[in-house]
Order: sequence, then C-alpha cells, then structure tokens
Amino acid sequence: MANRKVKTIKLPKSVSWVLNWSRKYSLWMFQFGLACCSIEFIASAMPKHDIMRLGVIPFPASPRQADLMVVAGTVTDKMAPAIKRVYEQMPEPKYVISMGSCSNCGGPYWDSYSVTKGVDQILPVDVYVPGCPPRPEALLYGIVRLQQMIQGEDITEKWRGHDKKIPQVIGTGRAGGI
Amino acid sequence: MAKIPDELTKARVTGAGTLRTEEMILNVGPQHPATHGVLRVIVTLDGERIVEGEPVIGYMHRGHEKLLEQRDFRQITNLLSRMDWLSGINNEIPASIAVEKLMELEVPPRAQYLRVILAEINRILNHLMFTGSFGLELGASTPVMYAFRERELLQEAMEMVTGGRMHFGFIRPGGLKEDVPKGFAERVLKGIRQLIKYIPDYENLLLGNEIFKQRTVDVGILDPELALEYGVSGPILRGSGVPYDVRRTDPYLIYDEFDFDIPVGAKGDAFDRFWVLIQEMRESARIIEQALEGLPPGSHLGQVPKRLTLPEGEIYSRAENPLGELGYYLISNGDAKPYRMKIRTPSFSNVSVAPHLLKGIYVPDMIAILGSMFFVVGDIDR
Amino acid sequence: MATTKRFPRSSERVEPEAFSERVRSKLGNAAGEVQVRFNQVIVSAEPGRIVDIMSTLKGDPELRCDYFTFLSAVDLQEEGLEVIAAVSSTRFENTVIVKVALPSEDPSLASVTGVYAGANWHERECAEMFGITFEGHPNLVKLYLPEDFEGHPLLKSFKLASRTYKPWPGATEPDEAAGGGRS
Repeated sequence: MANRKVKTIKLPKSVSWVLNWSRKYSLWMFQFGLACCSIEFIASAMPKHDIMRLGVIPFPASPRQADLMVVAGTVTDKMAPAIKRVYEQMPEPKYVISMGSCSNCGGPYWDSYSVTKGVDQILPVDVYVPGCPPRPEALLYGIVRLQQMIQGEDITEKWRGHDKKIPQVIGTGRAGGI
Repeated sequence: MAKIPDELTKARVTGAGTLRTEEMILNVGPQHPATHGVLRVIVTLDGERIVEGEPVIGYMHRGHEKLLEQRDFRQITNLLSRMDWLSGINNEIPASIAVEKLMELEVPPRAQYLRVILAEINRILNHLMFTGSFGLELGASTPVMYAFRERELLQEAMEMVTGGRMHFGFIRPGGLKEDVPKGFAERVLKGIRQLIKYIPDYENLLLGNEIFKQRTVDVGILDPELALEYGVSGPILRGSGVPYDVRRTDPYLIYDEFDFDIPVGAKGDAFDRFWVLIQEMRESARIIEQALEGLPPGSHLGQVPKRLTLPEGEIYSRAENPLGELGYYLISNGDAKPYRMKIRTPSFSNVSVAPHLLKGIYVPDMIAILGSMFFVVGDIDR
Repeated sequence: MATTKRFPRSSERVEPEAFSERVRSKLGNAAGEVQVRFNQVIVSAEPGRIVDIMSTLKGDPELRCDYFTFLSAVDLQEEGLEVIAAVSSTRFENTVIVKVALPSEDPSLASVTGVYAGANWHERECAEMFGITFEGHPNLVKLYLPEDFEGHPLLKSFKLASRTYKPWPGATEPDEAAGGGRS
C-alpha cells in the first residue's frame, strides 16, 4: 500500500469551469479584524457597500467554515502565531486577502520593534489590497480580483502542495496557550 | 442576570460530594467573534461563574511612543490618528495644542471653531460605531446596520473636508491643513438632522428592548470611587454618576463658549453606560449646530514657521476623547522631534478596571460588560 | 435616575497657584520644589518618599486627588531616569504631576499600587519599557510584549533595527522636498 501512487487526473475544462464558477460565488469570508482596517471591513459588509452582492458571506462563526480569510490590520509579533493557527484551522482550498498597508508590509509602522512587516511572512497571500485603510470599494475590488483568480484556477493544482508555500513563522512572538 | 453576592461566588457543594465542581480556565480571544478587536481574557470558571477574569493585552502594541521619538512634529499627527482608529481628529487635537502652547503659536478663531466641529463629528462617528457593535455583541444585528446608515452620511462630510474616511491627518500645529469647502455646513447639518431624527429609533431598539434590559440592567456595576482610582474616564465614568468631562473641567479649544449638558448615569451598570453614550450624541449635535452658527470668517491657519522647532519644555495636554481623557505628556529638548511623548489613553485605564467587574458574574455577562467598556484595542495597546 | 444636566464647573475649584500652596504646605519636607506650569502643579520628590506623597495627595481632605491620571517615565540619559506620575482632584479641579529622579543603573521605586490601585498596569508598562523595578507590585510581568522579548524599548539606548538597517530613503526636511509642499 505504501508505494501505491495516487492517480492524478486532469479535470475536463467544462467541469473545472463550473466548479470554479460555483466556488468563486460562495466564498465564506473569515475576518481577522485587527486594527483600523477592520472598521472599513465592517463598513463594506454594511448596507451601503454590501459585500454579499459579490457572493461573499461575511462573519462565519468559526474559521473551520471559511474559505477566505481577510487579514485586516496591523500584525504584531505577539499576534502572528494566533493568525497562523487560525489559518491552519481553515479547510482547503483557502485564500487570503491582506487588507491595508500594515498587513501588506508594516505600513506606517515600518520601523516598529513589535510589528511584523507583512502578513506574507507567515501566510501565503493571494491578493493585497493597498490603502491606509483601504476604502470599502478597494476591498470589493480586491475580492473581484480574487474571484477572477479562482475562475482561472486548476483545482487539482491548487490541492497539490499548497501547504508547502506557507512560510515559517519568524519573529519572536509567542501567543501562550492558544 | 443580576449581580451575584460575593458569598455565592464560591460554589456550594451539595449532595455529599457527588457534585464536585472544579475550577476551569477558559481562554477567550485574542480573536473571538464576541469581542471587538484583539483583546484576550483569561477567565477562571467555577461552573458557569467567573471566579477571576484577567485581560491580556499587547496584541496590538505597535510602539507608538518609541516611533513618535523618530518623527518630527509635522509627522506625529499622522501616527497619532491611527492610535485610536475611531477618533482620528480627537487624537490629533491635544498633540497640536501641546505644540502650540510650547511654541506660543496663535490659532485663528475660525480654526478653533472648525476643530470643535470636526472633533464633535468624530465623537458622533465613534459613538455610532459602539451603538452598533454593542448591540451586535448582545445578539442584535439590526442596530449596527442603522448606525452605519448615519455613519456613512457624516463620514462623507468628513471626507469632503479631509479626503479621508478614518485617518484624517488634518489638524496642524497652528490650525488646520485646509479650509472647509463650500457646502460643508449644509452637509453636516443634513447628517446631524438625520441622526437626531433616528436616535429615538436606537433608543427604542436597544434601550427600550426587554431582552437588552435583561442583559444589561444591574450588570457590571462600577463603583464611582473605584473608577476614579483607576483613572476611568469618558462615558464609562459618567455612567457611574461622576460628571467629569475635560471639556468642562479643563476647557481646551473654545468649549467654554458652547452650551452643552453632560449626561450621567445613576447606577453605573452596563445599561447606564450605554445610555450615556447615546445621549452624548445629542449633546455633540448641539455643539455642532452652535459652532456652525457662530463660525467666523478668516484664516484657517495661523503664522507657523516652515520648520517646527520647539523650545525646551514639558507639557501635559489633555482632551476629552470620545472614550475618555486622552493626554500627551510632551517633553521637548529643543529639537524638531519630541524627546519623549507619553500617551495617556482612555481605553487603557478603562480596561484596567475590568478584573473588578469580571469577578463573580456569569459568562454571558462578561460579553455585556466588556462590550459596555467601549474600548478600542489600539487605544489600549498603543 | 440617570440625567442630563449642565453640571457647571466645581464650586470648590481652586486656582492652580493657590492649590500649589496647599500642596506645598501639606507635603511639607516630603516634597522638593513645587511649581506651577501650564496650570498644572509640578512636584519633585525623593524616591524614598513617593508612597508618602501619593498617600497625602489622595487622603488629605484639602487635596483629595482621587483621580489617577497616569504614571510613566522618561530616559534622560546621563541624568538617569525620571518617573512621572500624575493625579487629579475632581473636586478642586487641579492636576498634580509628581516627578522622581532615579539612577540609570538598576532603577527601582516603591510601588504606589497600595495607594492607587489603578497604578497597576501603568507600573507594569513602565517596568517593561524602562526596566524599572517597582517594589511591592503584585504582579510585575510583561504587559505588552511577548515573554521572550529582550530589551526595554523606550530607553534611548534601544535602537530600532529597521532604522539602523536602512535609513529613510526620501527627503526628511521641508526644504528638501521637491514641490508640492506648502509653507
């Protein structure tokens, strides 16, 4: 049994298209609301901007039900392990949007002693939304770009070796018993 | 769920030892759907009762005080507005006041009035956010939708002036970055008229709601003396019946020229704190109307040198932020950068009293109590 | 019953100059220099007397500084550290700032948590940021930073690694900036 290879199949294009089409319009979005950006994130889920019209369902109760995580705000070294833990709890296939300058690269806290300079040091990020904080419209555009990306995806490719892309935690943070 | 007398907090073992309860340690957060922001609380439970609750902070510590020492006086406002992200203008004002007092800069009256208007709009924006989020935490998801309806209107007025939705960076030592555009007054008035029209809706939805009352009345009673000893300020202190408001006790800008009242609670429970929060929006709207009426013409910026170099000196400058007393202890050694800038934030002191409130209550009350402490994590951790 | 009232300024309000006289006479020789700056009373004190001073400020019926504002410190480099504590009186509407000089080597100070319970987190923060030991503090552990963080960030000797590694690439003075700036 040990030597038995898993057969990889190539999905027919039409099947892949339908699968991706249905996936991209049913994204359950887990919000990792950290700082200022989380307020704009909430604004984008409220009636005026209404993120649900894009087929995105915000605020699931647990990361285990989510397909998409939006890291909205400053990632600190103390917080980083908790973010990675939540990411690991999400089932595959999963996507990450990094929202705002802080989570993209450290932003205004580029020289801080306690801020992780970009969440991409601990997670693979699919879409970066720039801004400090990004307007709700910018987040909506980021989601549209992610949906375009999902539409063009090969699902079998996505499954293979996704975890290998996760960077190792760097920095000194440790979040105790969580 | 009313407050439980102290003698009942230790479980009574009945039934000859067959029902033994053991203390359990439960970790809530740092990411938890029922707490806004990344506050972590470690609670020791005896059954459904909390024996001890200790907030763990620092998950949003970004080192503002150190970073301010690396930035000059023109740049610090941009960092300060990100500290408490719901009240950008309010964060910037005392910093500019500190610089102005040390440099003896003159601020034109128009700038003073506009600062008051912008600060009060920002206070309303902040209070609306907490009106919504407190309801959300207690399981009512409608108020937040209504609150954001009014928020967006006022936020558009702020955007019209400053170009930003949250981080304005608009207050400069000596005045403001720019004058307000045409149509500003009408827009603000439209926003606050709509707000005044809908405040009774919030009151009916939440304060008049029987479920809401069950969750908040007599929950988390904060003793006024204890609150003062912990430096608790803002709506939380006023909810406990202490009419302490920096705008009245140590007037800055031109607050002593306006007529406004201070709402105070009677019992100091979660309901009173929330009641104060809602009433304060009315008072802010009153101040805005008066300030718009009296807005004088003139310059928005006084005579300010291109390069801001402060004389040597120290000053403690404070203001009434939406969440309480915000103070900056600024030490200048004659350089273009602050030598040291201690930030005294309201949420830090307000949350530090939480262990007292979390003693001997039920777990669901914890959410109501933390929700009624109205904190911003960036303001606690800085 | 919860009310909305005007609540004018306290009728017992004392002018800062008069309040500083009260502070001077009540503290006696426990305090050093007492002065008024920007309407606030500044008191300099010996490290050994901090608890006495705080107790008097809080307990004396003519001072009644019941409101704990903040406690922090500043690194004055050659002149050592200085602890700054501020308390206010809500009845007399005055703020007193107490300053205590400490040596840079092994600084330690008696904790004031016994007088003002609210000093707890402020002292923890101060200990973490400056390395000051507060004797008698109930739980002097790190407040903000991860447990294995080394150094005391607010000391002047603590350099920011990002800044050391790469200085800011753009203009830093208003005169250097190319256009766009307003005077």
